[in-house]
Amino acid sequence: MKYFGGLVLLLYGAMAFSGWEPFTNEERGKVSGDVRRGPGGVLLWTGGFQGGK
Amino acid sequence: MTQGQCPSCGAPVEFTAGSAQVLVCSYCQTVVAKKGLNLEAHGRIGAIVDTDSPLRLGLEGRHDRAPYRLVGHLQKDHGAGPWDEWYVEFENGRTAWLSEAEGFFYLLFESGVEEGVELETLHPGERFSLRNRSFVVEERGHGRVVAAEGQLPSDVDPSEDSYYVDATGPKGTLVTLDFGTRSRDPEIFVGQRLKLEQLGIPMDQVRPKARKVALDQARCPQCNGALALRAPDSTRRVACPYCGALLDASKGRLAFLQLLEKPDHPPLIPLGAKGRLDGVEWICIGYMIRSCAVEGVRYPWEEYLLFNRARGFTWLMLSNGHWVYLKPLDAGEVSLAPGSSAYHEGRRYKSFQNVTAVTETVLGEFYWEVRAGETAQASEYVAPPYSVNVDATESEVSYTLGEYLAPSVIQEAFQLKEPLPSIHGIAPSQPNPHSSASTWKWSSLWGGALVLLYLVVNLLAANETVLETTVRLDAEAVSGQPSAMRFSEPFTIHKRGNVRAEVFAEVSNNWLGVQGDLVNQETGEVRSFYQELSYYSGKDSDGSWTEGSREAEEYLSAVAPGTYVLRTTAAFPSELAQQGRAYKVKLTSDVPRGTWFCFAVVLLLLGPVLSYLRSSSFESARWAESNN
Repeated sequence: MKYFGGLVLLLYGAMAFSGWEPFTNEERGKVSGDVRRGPGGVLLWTGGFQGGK
Repeated sequence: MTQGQCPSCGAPVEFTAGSAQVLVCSYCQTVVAKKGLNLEAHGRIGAIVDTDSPLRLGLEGRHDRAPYRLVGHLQKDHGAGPWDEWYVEFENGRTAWLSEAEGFFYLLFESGVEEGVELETLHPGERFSLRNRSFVVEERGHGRVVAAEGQLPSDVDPSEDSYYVDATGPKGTLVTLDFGTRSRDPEIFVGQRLKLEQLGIPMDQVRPKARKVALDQARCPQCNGALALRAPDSTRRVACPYCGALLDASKGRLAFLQLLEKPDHPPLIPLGAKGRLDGVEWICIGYMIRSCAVEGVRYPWEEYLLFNRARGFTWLMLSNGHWVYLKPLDAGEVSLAPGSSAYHEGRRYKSFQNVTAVTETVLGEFYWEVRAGETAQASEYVAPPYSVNVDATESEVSYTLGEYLAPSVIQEAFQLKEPLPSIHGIAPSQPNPHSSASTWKWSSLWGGALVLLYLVVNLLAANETVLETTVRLDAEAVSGQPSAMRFSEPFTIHKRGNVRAEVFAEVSNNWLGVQGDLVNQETGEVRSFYQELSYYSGKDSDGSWTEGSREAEEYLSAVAPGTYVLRTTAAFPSELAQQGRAYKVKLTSDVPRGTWFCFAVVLLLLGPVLSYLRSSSFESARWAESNN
């Protein structure tokens, strides 16, 4: 317990400060470079990427 | 000072001790009493026989800085050889008695007569209160004065059987209650246990040990085998290793008592083996096999008697491969609730067992009158790794303080080459190897640190709502198509951390799915989530029911700081049109998670809980063997 407790603390600290969510259902990806930009350069696209769905 | 001639033989006699009323004529052994200026003969008394006592008449010593002298000497017979008692007169006129037992000396001062104390009420092991102090009876016996020399405070009558009770109190206090011939209230003598060095007698003055020489080269009177005695000064019984004869050594020579069964295996610690325990070099001088019977089953154990000239005697007990180191303890040092618990030096010992122990086999030397077949009531109180053991007979009770030792300690201490028997079962005083105390300690420490860290995490967390928007879809919007798609205003995430995405919609007996795409405007990275809200309700024969929820949440992992836009695409059934297709999305950045804190607490508790379960199981197995 002497070392295990420290490990638990380290793990909790790492998760808390990095914001890592181990059980999230999120999908990751990247929009293609040819999507149009709206006013102010905001990326706006209506097709293509569906977040992996 | 009174001088004169012995009324019996005419030899010169002289009273030098002011407190003495009688003296023993050193020529004819007549007891001479002072009667005013005259001397009277009061019969004869036996001559002192040689014993192993290091004291002699005329020796001078100091106690608490007060000088004293041994002026008289009595030898009593309690049925086990001569017992020496010395009459002591201090320079200031105070008097005391000095006696010797098991290598210790007891200096006892007369403390008057105690009325109302009856001999019949004082049994070995019994606790009683005397002058506001608590004592425990260790021995009750009787004996008579058989020999005397020097000057004495009162007449001695060799035909008179005198009864006494010895009891101990806290801090080495000893009290002797002298009932005389039982016809009177007891005279009380109170004193302390002292070592030879504490008597204040110059060591070059003490008597050389004549008995040692006599017994050192002893031979068994039964088989003539050579016996190498290791503690001849204190030995009262010798069990011959060759023929199994039990010999009495209390009278300075060996006398045959009985033939014993020889042990079926030699002692694991050979007689004569030396070993260092507790910082002292011990020599193994005696070996016994004792047993008890519980529900018809015999449970044997072995006991090894160890001796050290300066420390006296101690024991090693072996049972089922478990070793216990036992040191003598004054009964008065222990508070006992028989069958329940014992208290010694602030520690509570729980009663474990109470059995009738039978001595089956003996080998070697013993300081008491051991006999094969003798029984004692043996009780054990445990506070692992320690134990308080009480051995009681009709006339005597002895207490020992035990400490559990690992077999490797014995093996190493006595340099034993043969492997010791392996351990079976759990010993009463065996320390619990699964003790959860240390685990709890560490868990508490880390638990405290975790709470602190959790507070810090909460203090430092941004916990910032970065987007809260309500989306209303057009009536023409088609599920999952660009017409059901909306873009939020750009917003900023300031701190790297998780992002909680919450979706709310007032659906009723229907469903709505929301695909959320969080797109980083600088890098084009997309973090997508999908939440489906469904809420149904109704009534049936069991009453009202509902299922589903109008809100849902998802945590996005480690989102980098930057400017983002949230694209949402709704999916819905066609009948939702009637209810209005609106939903609310809320994004919160860097949310402290109580869930992970709870997980960490659970992980920290795992160790102690497992440890507790194992420890409890061990204790259950231990106490299953208890007969209390």
